[in-house]
Amino acid sequence: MKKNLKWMKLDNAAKIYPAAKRKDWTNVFRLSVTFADPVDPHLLKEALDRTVPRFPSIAVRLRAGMFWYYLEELPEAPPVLLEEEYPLNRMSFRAIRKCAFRVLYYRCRLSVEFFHSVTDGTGGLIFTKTLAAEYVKCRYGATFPCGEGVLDVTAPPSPSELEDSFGKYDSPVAASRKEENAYRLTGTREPDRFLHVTTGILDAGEALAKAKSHSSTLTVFLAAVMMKAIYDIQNEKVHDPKKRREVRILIPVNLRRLFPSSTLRNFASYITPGIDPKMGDYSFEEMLRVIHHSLGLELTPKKMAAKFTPNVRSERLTVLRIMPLFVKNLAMKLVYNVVGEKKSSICLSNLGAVTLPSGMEPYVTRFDFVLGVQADSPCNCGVCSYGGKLYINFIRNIREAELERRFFTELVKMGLHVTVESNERG
Amino acid sequence: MYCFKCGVELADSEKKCPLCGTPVPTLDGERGEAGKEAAPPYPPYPGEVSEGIPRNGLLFVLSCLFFLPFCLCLLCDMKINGEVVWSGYASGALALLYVIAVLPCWFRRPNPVIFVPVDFAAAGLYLLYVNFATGGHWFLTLALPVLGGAALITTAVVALLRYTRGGELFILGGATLLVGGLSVLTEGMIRLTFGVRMFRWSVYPLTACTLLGLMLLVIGICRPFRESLKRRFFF
Repeated sequence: MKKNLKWMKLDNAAKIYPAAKRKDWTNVFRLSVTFADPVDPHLLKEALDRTVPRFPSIAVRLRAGMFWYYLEELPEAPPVLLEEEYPLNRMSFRAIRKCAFRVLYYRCRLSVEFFHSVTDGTGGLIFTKTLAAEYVKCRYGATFPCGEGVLDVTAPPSPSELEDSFGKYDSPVAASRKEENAYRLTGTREPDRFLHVTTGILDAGEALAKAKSHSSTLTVFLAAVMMKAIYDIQNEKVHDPKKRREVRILIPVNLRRLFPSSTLRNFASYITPGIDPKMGDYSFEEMLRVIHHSLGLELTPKKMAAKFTPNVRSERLTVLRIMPLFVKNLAMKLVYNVVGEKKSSICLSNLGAVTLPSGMEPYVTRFDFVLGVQADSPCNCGVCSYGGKLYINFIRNIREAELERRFFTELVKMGLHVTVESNERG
Repeated sequence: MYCFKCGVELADSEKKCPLCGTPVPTLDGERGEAGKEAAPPYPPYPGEVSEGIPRNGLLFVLSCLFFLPFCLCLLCDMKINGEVVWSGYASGALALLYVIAVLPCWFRRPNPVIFVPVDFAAAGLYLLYVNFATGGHWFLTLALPVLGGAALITTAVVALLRYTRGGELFILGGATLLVGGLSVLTEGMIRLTFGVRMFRWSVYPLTACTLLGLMLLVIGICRPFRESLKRRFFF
């Protein structure tokens, strides 16, 4: 018997991703938990079966209506799959219609890859942590109270977790979205779409102390190092200073910290601090200060609300709402392709320090956050820390590891110890 | 193990530095042991076979595209006139074009020393056909010597350039001189074949070619001259 499946509209930020999809690209990100022992797929499946009903906004599939896409509850949990290919391998649209996320395991690591329409990093982290907690309970018989982002799977989902917070907290003023086009990295594309993942592992305390010594936060410090790396690459590749473009780092912002929201759906915006090399040479300290002050200026509830309000407004326009889905898709795809990724050089997403209930910590050795590449920009960077280690995951779809090399050697030059691992072939 | 170029520590699973590609040096087999035990952080992915258009398929389609008008010409001509009247020229030209442009592509590394004479032979055959079809008598006295001369010069140049190292100036200089000679031969053969009295045009290409060829030879022989030319004209 087929029960009546629940469904919900896509939240405001989610709407762009199905429209912007390409034949060989969809916007996906991955969260991984590494356990002390190899993963048992049967127990993992059991844990997943228990976790899925608790997350009616994440355990979904994407369906197309006449006017909008919508998310539909899954009738049953998807299978857990052995990871056999490279991370964030293309998630086909056909697969997303069946299930908008996938659960993979490889040796001791459990990975969940989400289609971005379903949730953002914070929501994904809560899902992953809860799944990992259920698995730890199954596998080791451990008992620990929920909390620290681990939800109780026996409790019913609260309505506040399912709300579209963009519409709730929008501003009376819509900020302008106008920005200069930024410099973008280039390189030789991999013909078989292989994605290179390079992870730099640092001591979190050491890195934080280094950031503090520059009187900044870790995110600002890493963004500044990234900006310097891209700035140097551009200076080397583009000889004429007049032709150099702005270097902008897109830093996603978790809006739950600015607004009283506990949604598990997308509720993130971004800021793009940048420098214009046409104005002259920048030192590392200057870049750091630019990013630091941009964050200070922009990271207020009022500013951020004004920033996402144009999107909310256009979503509410009756003219746009009654357009058939394929027309909307065409228009959104066009906008995304023309404007979408050109405003920033790279995305640097810091998920922050991942915490777990103390009873669960002994079984978990590591957390990783890997962003997918964007459709046109070749590199992206996801950061998180756990257990006193900082994990910086770079992903790229080109052969040349120039950005990674400059970024990590810059950290080494500053006296930080970096361990590097990768999925390089041969 | 550390990468001595980047200064980062490499995980035991790394065989080379993922940042700069420097291979990990093995010291007394020490790392080799550890490397064997270390599990790679991601499953090995050998890569997909490239999905490019198969070369042979493309050539097959191209061949069909040539073959189709080739047959159509002959067929139409036969249908209308009952015999080969004009289609021989068109189909022959198509076949010639095919031999020159498409045939070498069937080979992975076509050798020009073989294909240049083949192309000339094909052109010779086509001219022979035209000669017979038009009832002319110019093939033996004009087309064969001129075409043969050109074939010899071109093949010699291609073969020398391919199989000898250096001496390009001498080869090209010699060839230029010979081309001048060929123009004289051409004029002589035209006179012999058609018995026309015309002004001696071949003197001009002969003079130009001789000057040019001699200059190339001089440049080739005189090293300081060559050096100074190089200095002035490098780009």
